[in-house]
Amino acid sequence: MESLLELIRGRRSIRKFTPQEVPIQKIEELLEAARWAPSGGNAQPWQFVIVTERETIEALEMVSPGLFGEPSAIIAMCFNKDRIQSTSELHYVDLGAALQNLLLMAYAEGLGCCPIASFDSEAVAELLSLPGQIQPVLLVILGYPDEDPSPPPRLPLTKLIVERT
Amino acid sequence: MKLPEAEKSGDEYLFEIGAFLISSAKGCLWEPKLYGPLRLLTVFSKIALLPDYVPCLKRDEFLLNLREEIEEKIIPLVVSDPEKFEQLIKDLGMNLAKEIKKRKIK
Repeated sequence: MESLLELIRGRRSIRKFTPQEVPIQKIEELLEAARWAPSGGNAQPWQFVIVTERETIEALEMVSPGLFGEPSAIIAMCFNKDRIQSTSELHYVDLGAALQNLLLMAYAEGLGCCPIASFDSEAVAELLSLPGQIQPVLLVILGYPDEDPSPPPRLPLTKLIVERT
Repeated sequence: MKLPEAEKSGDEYLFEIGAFLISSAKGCLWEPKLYGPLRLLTVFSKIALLPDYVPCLKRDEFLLNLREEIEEKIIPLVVSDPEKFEQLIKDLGMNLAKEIKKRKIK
C-alpha cells in the first residue's frame, strides 16, 4: 500500500480508457469513500447518479463539450438542494472534498477518473430525468486507464505559503 | 474523440455535432477563454471525420493530418501548457494558409 502522499502525488486525470467495464461494486466503493468526506454542519449535500448504460453515456457526451474519451461509466456528482441549508457557497467545498476522496479511491483501485465541469447542467438533469432538487455539478468519467500522463507543473510551496512568525 | 462507428448514420453524426456546438456555445458564456478555441478545434476534429459517415464526401488527407495533430499534440496542452497551446494554434493558421494557397492560387 502506497503512502497517502504517494497516492495524492501519483493520481492523474485520465481521459483515455480501455474498453474493460468497471463492476458496479467498484463504483460503489468509490462512492463509499466519497460519502465519508467532511461537510459543513454535516449537511452531506451530495447525491450521486451512476451511469453505465452506453446509450445514456453517449447522450451525456452530446451535451458535455469537456467530456473526452470513452468512459465505461460516468458518476454525476450532484447537489441535493433539500440538504443545503446555508446560503453561502460553502457546499461547493463539501462536494470538492467528496470528489477528492472519490478520485484517490479510484486511483488506489487502479481506475482512472477525470472530473468534468464543462457540460450543460440543465440538459444533463433532463437526460437523466432528475427531480428538481437534484442539480448536477460535476461529471466524473471513469474506466480503466489507457494512458499514463505526466503530472502538470505545480507551484512550489514557497510561492504558496505566507509565514508569519 | 470517438472513432467512426459503422452503426452511426450521417444524420446521427450531424445531430451529435449540432448538440456539441450548442452545448459549447452555452459553456463559452462562463468558461475560461482558451476553452473557446478548444471547442472549435474539437468540432473541427469531428467535421474532418464526416466522410466516414456521409458516403458522398471524400476523405481529405490534409484535414485528417491536421486532425491528428490537433488531437495528439495540441488539445492535450490546453491545461498543461496554455502558452504552447496558443502558439500551436497560430502555427495551424499558417499551415492552413499555405494549403489554401496551394489549392486556390495558381
